[in-house]
Amino acid sequence: MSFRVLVIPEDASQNGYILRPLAERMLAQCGKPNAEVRLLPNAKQAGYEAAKRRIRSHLWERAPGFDLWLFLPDSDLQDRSVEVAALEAEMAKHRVTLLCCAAVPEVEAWMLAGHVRSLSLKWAQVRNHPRLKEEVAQPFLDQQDLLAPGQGREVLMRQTLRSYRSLLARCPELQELEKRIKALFRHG
Amino acid sequence: MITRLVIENFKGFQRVDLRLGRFNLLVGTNASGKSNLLDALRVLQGLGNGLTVQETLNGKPKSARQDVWPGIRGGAEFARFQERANGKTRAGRGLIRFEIEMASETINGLHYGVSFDPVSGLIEREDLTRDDRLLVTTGDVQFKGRKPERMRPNNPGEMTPETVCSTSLAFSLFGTIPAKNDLPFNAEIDLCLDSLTNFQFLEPQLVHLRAYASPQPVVRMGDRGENFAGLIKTICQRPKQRAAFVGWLRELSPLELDDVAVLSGAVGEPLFALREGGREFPAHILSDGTLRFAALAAAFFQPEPPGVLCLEEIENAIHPTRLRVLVELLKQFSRRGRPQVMATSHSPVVLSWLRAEDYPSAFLCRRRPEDGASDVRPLPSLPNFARLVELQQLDEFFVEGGMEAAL
Repeated sequence: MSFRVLVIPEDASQNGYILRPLAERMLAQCGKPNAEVRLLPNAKQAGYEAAKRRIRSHLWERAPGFDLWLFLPDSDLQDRSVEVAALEAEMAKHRVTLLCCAAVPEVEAWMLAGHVRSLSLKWAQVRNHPRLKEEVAQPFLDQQDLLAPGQGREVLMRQTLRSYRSLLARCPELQELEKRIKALFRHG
Repeated sequence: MITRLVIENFKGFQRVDLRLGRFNLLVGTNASGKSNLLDALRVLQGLGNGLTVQETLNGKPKSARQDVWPGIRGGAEFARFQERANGKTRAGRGLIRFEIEMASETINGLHYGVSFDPVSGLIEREDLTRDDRLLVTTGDVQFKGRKPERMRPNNPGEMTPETVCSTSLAFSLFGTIPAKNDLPFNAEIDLCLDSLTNFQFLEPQLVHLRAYASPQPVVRMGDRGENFAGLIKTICQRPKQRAAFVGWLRELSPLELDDVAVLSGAVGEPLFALREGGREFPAHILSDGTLRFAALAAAFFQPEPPGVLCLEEIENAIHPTRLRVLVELLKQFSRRGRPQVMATSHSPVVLSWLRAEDYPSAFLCRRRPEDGASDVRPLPSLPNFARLVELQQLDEFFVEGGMEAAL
């Protein structure tokens, strides 16, 4: 039976195209190349706070049977470490293995990490942009004019994942997440 | 694209005036006016194609030169608005009027209006203006007692702005003017004609989706999905389009989808198929929902896309968990500018996938209790809408009848 992973995004409608290939690749790097990655789709869930509420509202009963949950929200340039650590501890009481990783500043940055040369910003500016989704990622996507789902987010993310190590180098929070997943597998 | 639509005295509409976006969604209870609004667009399409008013309303059978035109539900007899008062319906009177405003990359503020009598079949007035400047008009026609004649504009080659062509009309003006390059407003006429005629009212039927198609190259499938497999063959010949199309189908499919395939009949007629796990599954064994979604997705990959793609009850045969993909498909392609989408839905799940930026072109259709007229209004115009969607999710609001109650 394959290892089952539930990815919980802030906004399933667009983030999923970035998060699913990322999670599949990271799990493969951590020794689970056949992991079954599912995205939690829920239209009513939009935004960090709403996603946390959804996790807390008996999600462990409504979405059983997963070996690992990954909650991958936007950091929105805020330090979410204390809040997500509390959420992880809370879920552990319900026998859920939850790992959280907040994208700096938003999930779109992970996709853009492999396309910095096509942007008019330096990487440090991307990491500190207060409206990355609207003012950087969306114009970039419009410019690409891709017909694939998610305006080509998945295609672009898979391109970024070709240089997986440089993605992790650009996004230390992903490096930390990979380290934690590896530790989890090491300790069973 | 069509930026504004005015309908007067047509079917359930006494008068509605709508500002349209690229992705327009009509919601409302049964018999609230959603399909009638699409019928209004079909009337414009019929007139733009050079059909008479009565052919447009009542239908035109297949002939050697013209394919079948099915007419409008109810035909000319029920085309006028019929007011209800004190439990009684009063017979409709007066002229039906439509107006549209159009815009393209180079032309803004173009306005077309047409008024006609559905019973006599005569067009009373028709005009095209740009930024309130009259380009061409039929003028007011006193048609009482006159017989319909084929319209002949006064020497189109000499037409200038503010030209008045007064004639008795049975045909639409712009369906019969030869678009001559030397006309000073030729680009405006072209845009108007394109806006009036280039609709696709797609209602894919499984019998066509499962059938072999014509072996000839297909650049647009029929409104019922005719030549669907031929269109897929055309898409498959374009690697980037094929990859993107397969990407959309993968989003729908619960299993691992490898690719689309086109099988060949005895004389090269294409048949749609999907390839899963190295095996090809022809159209006749694929699920209804898979085929329907494939047809809707293929509509956006047509080499000759329509200006406006009209879709009724978009959620039909598609599982609720996949409606997100459908809404994203419609939003993503309409955002690129062509085709503009006009869709109807009864599904709260479809509504739940709308975001705030979609609300101005999401319309609630309802019947006014006082006179039975259909009222169509954008969701943000509902009283206290912003506060209501803060308090309650849009889908719940819809299911509980809160939108109608707000009025």
